[in-house]
Amino acid sequence: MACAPRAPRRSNPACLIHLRRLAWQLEVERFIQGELIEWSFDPYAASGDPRLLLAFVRATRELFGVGAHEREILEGPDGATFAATKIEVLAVASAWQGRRFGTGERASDVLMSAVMTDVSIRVPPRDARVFALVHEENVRSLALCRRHGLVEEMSRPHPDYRRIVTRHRRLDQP
Amino acid sequence: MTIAVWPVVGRSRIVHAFRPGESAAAEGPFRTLRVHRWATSGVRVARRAAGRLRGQLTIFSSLNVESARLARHGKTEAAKRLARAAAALESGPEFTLLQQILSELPSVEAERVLEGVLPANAPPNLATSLKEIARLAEQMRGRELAVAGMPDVFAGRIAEVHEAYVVLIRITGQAAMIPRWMAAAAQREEVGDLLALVTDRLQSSSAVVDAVPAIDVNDVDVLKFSSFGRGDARVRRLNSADVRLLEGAPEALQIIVPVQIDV
Repeated sequence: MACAPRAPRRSNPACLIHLRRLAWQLEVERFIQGELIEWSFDPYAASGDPRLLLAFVRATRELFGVGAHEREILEGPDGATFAATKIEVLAVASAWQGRRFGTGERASDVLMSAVMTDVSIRVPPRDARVFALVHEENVRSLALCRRHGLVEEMSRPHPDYRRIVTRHRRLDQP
Repeated sequence: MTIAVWPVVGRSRIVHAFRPGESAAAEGPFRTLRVHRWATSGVRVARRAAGRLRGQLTIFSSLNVESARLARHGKTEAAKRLARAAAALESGPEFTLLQQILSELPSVEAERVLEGVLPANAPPNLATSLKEIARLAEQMRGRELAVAGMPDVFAGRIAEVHEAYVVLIRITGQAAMIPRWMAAAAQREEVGDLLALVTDRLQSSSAVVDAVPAIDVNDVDVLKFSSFGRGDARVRRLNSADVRLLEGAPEALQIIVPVQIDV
């Protein structure tokens, strides 16, 4: 999950940071441009209820974001399984990154809310466990996830990627 | 690319190096190795099946194989030094991490790791941990065996697979033909697999030859990861702490901006 990349500006002192981030940001772009449609309509994956959301500005019909999610079964070491929803991708168009609508909402919050709304209205119902994989340097997406309740940290599937999930009330809590 | 022998072994490999031809399950030879401090006691890993503890698995640094071999050759002081190096490695943080990772795996998969197999759903830090242990073991092995005398190790990548043999190519280009059954016993019989052939001379015209799994300690391909798509099982794999978290009750989703979705 990430925002689409901005081109690095050589005159900018943050150029090196941009370049370092470029690898995982490009991965997001490549997935959206090259694989997302196939991911969404793969007949062999239909049981996972994959959902692709395109977010438009109603007034201008401008596409400002793309989101996708599907059902996922997480597997414990002893064979325990947990139904969950994986946010496959959530990407805000470059022109809309960091921007707000006239009504004050951030574009990214609207997009994430759309994904959460879609998860919550699926039939049959999706599990309330929603998780995302976020590159550890992708601070904007991490902040976005936190704002929308993905606050619990699970183990990392890769040293560079954090796996975060919606809040759970532990069994030993009242 | 640096190809090293697989860094962890079970007790039978050590016994085999000490008494080739005898039963690898025999207690006596290993006891002899331990009494003389030519081998370590290994690291114990809890075995689990269906959520329950099912005994323990003991893993050893592959340096123990070298120390057992040295002991067989009568180089007992060198054997002790290498066993001490093995003990230091086994008590280090890299082995502790490996112990933790293996204890999270089903016992069958943990045993397969000892045989040189990375389970398909293995957590990514398993490969990292094995590579780091292999790298350290190679350094220690090189230091000690440069003095004590090394067995001939021919390590490379399988380039061809035929009905009766595989062709193993070193990075430097030399090739060797290995009986396929030996490669299969080392869990390496596919093109691209990494294999090492260890030849330990007995007398002028005889030797003990072992095919053992190998690992590329510089390879980063194993660690490639994409958070997208459905192909990588690491995305779905949980550890015990994750399970404890998810066993709790999920709270209702937060929708902070009302959104209408048109279909």
